[in-house]
Amino acid sequence: MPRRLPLLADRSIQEAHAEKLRIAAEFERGVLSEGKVSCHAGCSNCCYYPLTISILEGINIYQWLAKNHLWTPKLKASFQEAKDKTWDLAPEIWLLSMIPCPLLDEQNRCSAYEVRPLLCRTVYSRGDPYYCHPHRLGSSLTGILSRILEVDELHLQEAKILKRHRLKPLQVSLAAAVLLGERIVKKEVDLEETNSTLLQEYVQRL
Amino acid sequence: MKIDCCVCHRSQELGHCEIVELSADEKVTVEKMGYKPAPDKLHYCKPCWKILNDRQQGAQLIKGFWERSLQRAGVVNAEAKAEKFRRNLLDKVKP
Repeated sequence: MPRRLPLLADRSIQEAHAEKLRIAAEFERGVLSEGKVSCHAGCSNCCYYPLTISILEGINIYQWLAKNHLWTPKLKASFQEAKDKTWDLAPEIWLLSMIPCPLLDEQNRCSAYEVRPLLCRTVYSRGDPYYCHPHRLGSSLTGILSRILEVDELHLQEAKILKRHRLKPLQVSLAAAVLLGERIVKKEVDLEETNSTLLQEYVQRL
Repeated sequence: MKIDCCVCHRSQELGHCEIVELSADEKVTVEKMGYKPAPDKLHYCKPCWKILNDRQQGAQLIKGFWERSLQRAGVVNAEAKAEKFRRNLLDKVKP
């Protein structure tokens, strides 16, 4: 059985997840009411984009994977590999290197679709998916819709939640956030120690 | 002292860089590619160095740079040409 977080931390994770679902649902309604999108299951072009999330999303994803018995040693190893490859990597280099999201399965589907980050939930393209490929992204033919306002809104809500834990908002790679999330859930690290733990790790890697 | 990474151009402390000294042959190749005069040394930051040392990801990164450059130059079949280049790279660097 997955372990439980302290009550306040658990409430914070649930609150952040609810905010994410609300923002994503509103965005999706707006997008779909304005016309068709070209995104379809099995297209995984956006699963190679640089992706950073907060520790709140990281814990949520870890808890979901553990609860559904998907957090296997093999999956954890691919998270570790992705974390090592993307640690402190410039976003442009990350994009061009085609580093797959560790949640991407062999059928090109997200293995944690239900709890995927807001950045993934709000990627919609009205253009040809061919131009969503990381090596072609940014051309005038890439039809990905802007979601800056939605991402900013989630970051603002997360900042308010993290303040309760005396934490400043910090975005790290999905792999780093989920791996740290595991340590927090297993009570090896307190949620309140998130930023200092990441800083220590950063210094060690220099 | 700080120096720019030759891949991502981020400024790095010299002590945190990986440094590659170019041989005379390598300098000629670099100059043929249009980088004149070729530098004596190339400086890589650790994250970029790690990617370039990974067979798959390193080849993808170089392919990505090629594809973008070819597209900007208006070359037709940029994707196919860049993919051919990637395969050649992988053939040269056996696992």
